[in-house]
Amino acid sequence: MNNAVVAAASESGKKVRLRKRSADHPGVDIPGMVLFLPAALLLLALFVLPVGYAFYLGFTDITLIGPTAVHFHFTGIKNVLRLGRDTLFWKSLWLTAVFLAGSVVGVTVVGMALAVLMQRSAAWLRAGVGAVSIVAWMLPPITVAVVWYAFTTTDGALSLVTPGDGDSLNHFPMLVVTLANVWATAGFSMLILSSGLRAVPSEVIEAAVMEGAPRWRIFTSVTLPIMRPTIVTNILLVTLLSLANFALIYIMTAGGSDNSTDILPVYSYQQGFVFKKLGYGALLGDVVVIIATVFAYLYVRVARQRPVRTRLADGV
Amino acid sequence: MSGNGTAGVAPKAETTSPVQKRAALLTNLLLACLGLLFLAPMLWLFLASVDEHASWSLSLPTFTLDHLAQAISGRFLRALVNTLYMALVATVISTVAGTLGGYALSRRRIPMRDGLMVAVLFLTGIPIAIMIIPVFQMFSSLGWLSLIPTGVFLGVTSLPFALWLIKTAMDSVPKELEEAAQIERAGVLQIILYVTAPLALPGIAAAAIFSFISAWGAFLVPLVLISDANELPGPILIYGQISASQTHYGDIAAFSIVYSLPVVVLYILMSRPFAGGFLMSGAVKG
Amino acid sequence: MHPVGTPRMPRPYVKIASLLGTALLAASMLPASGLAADKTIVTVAYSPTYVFDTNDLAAKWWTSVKEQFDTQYPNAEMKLVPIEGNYDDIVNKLSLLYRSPATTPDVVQIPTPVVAQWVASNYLLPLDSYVANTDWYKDFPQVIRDEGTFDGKVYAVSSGENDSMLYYNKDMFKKAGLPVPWNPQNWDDILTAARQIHAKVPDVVPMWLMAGTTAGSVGIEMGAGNLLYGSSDPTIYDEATQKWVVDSAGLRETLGFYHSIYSEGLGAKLSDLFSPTPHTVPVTDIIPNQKVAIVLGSNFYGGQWGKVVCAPCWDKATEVEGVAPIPHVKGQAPNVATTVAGWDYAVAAVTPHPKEAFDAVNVLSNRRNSIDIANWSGFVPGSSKFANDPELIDFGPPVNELASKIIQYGRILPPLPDFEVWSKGLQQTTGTMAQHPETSVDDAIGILKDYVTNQLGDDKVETK
Repeated sequence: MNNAVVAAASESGKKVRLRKRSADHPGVDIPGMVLFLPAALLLLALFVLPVGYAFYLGFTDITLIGPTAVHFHFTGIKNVLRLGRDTLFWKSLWLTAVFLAGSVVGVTVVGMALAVLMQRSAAWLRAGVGAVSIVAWMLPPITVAVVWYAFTTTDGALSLVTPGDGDSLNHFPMLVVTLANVWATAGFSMLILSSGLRAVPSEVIEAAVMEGAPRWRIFTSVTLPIMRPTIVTNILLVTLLSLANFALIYIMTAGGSDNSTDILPVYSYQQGFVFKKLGYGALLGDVVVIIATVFAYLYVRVARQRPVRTRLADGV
Repeated sequence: MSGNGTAGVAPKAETTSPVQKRAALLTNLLLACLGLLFLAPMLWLFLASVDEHASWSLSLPTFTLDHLAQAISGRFLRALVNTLYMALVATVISTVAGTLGGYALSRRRIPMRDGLMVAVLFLTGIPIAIMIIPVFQMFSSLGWLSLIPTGVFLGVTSLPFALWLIKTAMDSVPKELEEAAQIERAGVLQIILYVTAPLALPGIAAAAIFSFISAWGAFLVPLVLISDANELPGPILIYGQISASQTHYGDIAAFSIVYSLPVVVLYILMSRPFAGGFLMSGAVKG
Repeated sequence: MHPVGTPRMPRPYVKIASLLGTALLAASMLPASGLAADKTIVTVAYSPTYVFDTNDLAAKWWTSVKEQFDTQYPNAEMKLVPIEGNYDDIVNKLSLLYRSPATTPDVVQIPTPVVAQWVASNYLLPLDSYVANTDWYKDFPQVIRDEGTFDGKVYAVSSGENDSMLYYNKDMFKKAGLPVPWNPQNWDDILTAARQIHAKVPDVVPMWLMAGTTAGSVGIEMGAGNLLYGSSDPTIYDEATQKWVVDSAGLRETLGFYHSIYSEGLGAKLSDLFSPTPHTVPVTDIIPNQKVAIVLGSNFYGGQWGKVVCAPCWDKATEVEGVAPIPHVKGQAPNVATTVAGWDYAVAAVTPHPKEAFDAVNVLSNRRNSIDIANWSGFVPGSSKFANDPELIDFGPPVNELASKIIQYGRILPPLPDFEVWSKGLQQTTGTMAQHPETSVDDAIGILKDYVTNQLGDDKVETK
């Protein structure tokens, strides 16, 4: 069985078959529901309910400690009003956007470079670089934080090649934490993009080669358009994983220096667990949930569009 | 090779022209540079782990094996076993529920399937920090503040992604095989176990690895949910070493290395079933 | 990819299954910890990494305490509950555990600044009737009693306190032509010395003065707070108006001192100031490695260089390192400024066995344990009887002697939840001054004011 062929088949729209089939059986599909039940129950009990409750806490005056720790009240939009006035929140929102944009671009470019280069490199090099990049992804976030702290501090390895006092972490904190995130996520992206690259039908590429198109042109006009769904998925996942990646920044900078790495998950933690204002912290977390929802929705919009047909392929 | 590494220009052309040779050299060179960039930050880890006077700075080590010996003894070893236990529970939970659920999403009629898939996906992006209070409240009232329930919870946090990966993998398994099995009067579970799952194994393996790694590196959740000294997982111990009044740089580095070995072994063991497993495209295409 | 064939278990399955099997087998061999059912179990929450100078000493002390308690009270057994992480993590984890009686430890060691919030949550048991019968509480000085007393009731008792002082390197002082012993009478004396070091002794940091956010409120306790308490207006929280002070003569004097240090290049490098554990940088690195001349630091450094703690060992500590009290800005009497904060023992209000719980506090507070925890954590013991014990004084001379002597002049930081906000504002301000030396005092005050006002609102801040 050839994975590439199957994927290519589904790319070119033959996938409707599956949908038709399920439409063939109207009514409730009991065995199907039963199979889905464990996942549904687990998600409901340990994910959806806690998130729902956290959403509610965002509209209360609950604190971690003090009189309102246990006896807290619903305070309506009071926290939301505060959010509007909170200049740090708006700064934090901006920093989150910067961190996500930097991470997504960095991870996708590096991941794609790895995937493409590995496809055509010597086998031993492919194995070696693949292992290193995947190990970087597999390392616990705490190790990544420690490693990158040591790498970018004064007298760290990076200081050997940077001018000045070599204290990259404190001079360019956002750049450093973004790079650390790229380093720790690119291996994952490489796996996704490699899977997508494998699924590009070789016939299409060979046809383009026969036409004598230059290699970069084939890549930008054939490979990339065919891989679009994979790339979009990759972008969404990197966005979501970066958004949820709290430990890295918390340990490396704790939001500093000068609040310059205070992305929303870190600021939310700061409000909830340093200032003990759990209610307001939860509301900041709710904003993250909303951002995640918006990204997921956008993703579906983009993914639903018909795959772009390649100009070169059309020409054949 | 299974004949699928051909997305680029076919590398094995009959004649290797000087241009192609140069291109190949350039490819290898670029990749080697990228590899070195990935390796560079790890340099400190290796040096500090064998340095008697380790600090945050990069320096030539005064060689010692004490840190590494320390990292595989006593409470460090226990932490390693604890994490393994917790991560395996998480992996089993998310892979089993993910395989059954993924099959249902791929093959059966589930109401509002596309909406569900999106809902499931966005759960991946939720910051764990906001769930601490609800989950702590729930777990403490049920008396679940220990290793296994924490593993279950971590498994559920990876479940959305597992469902996605496995559903996508199963979508590309041809239905004819299952129909053939159905004619042989095989039950649904048998079909999943013997027909669909083996063919979707790259996706399932990818989901398992993803869950394992998330649980393996989990830091905030066990910090909050686990109180028993005998149940602490590794990241908490590393964190404790950082926040201690005296930072044990060498021990941190050594334990980080020892702590990474299981995931490296996992990768080597599963790199074959893993290949192509992260095929994610088209999962919610209508 | 995989051959389509007869339904059999593919090889990767076997691999995965055997991997899982081995791991589960290994995990199931973990011994289960059992407790005798007929004994009263007293749970005690403590930090295994943060409070003591080394993790080994923490383990040694707590194991010994448990043994003493279990022997002394055969019908009870102490169960230790370790709380991992740093200051914030410990407070957070304890706050969560206290939300439900089922998870509440009977006895807890908590930082003194948060005791008030525990009391406000009705989490703690008044201990008046218990402490009355002890031989150690009556020797607690007033400032230390106050830390654990609210509305006239005792809710917590000290396990040890930290205060602050100036450390100076005698060799460097001599090289710079400065007097030894050094006894600065006001802040200008400190600045003059730092400037002279800067001019005469190259390649050393003239003065360590904590700045930035990574240490949390500990950075205020062991840094700016001491200067503010030696300024002409030390008010942080105005009790009368119930507002936080964001601009005052005292704050301007304090930030003026920061401005002098950092704008004249007299301060330490950023990677040390902003390291994940900046409060340990002087004691573990720059003092024993003789990289700094003057340090405004904590008394906990005192015993750390000796043979017992040895973190790191430094034979010449008493020869090289001198100490002096932090003076007031213009030398006002008593001319000793210091913050005081420490760790208290408290008993949970919901404990089903208060007597046994206090028995545990009693064991924790006996002479042997008080002196050991003080020596191994760098504390001044709560009881003045132990604070002047030769075993303590000789453990870290001359630091411990001075620390015990000046604790009576100490002031606590406001024990209110919003102190964390004000504190974070000041940490940011000092951090900015260290990172951007051109920051003026007016700008610095602006940063503090903006931060605190944004978090707490206009009606919660005031200018004095």
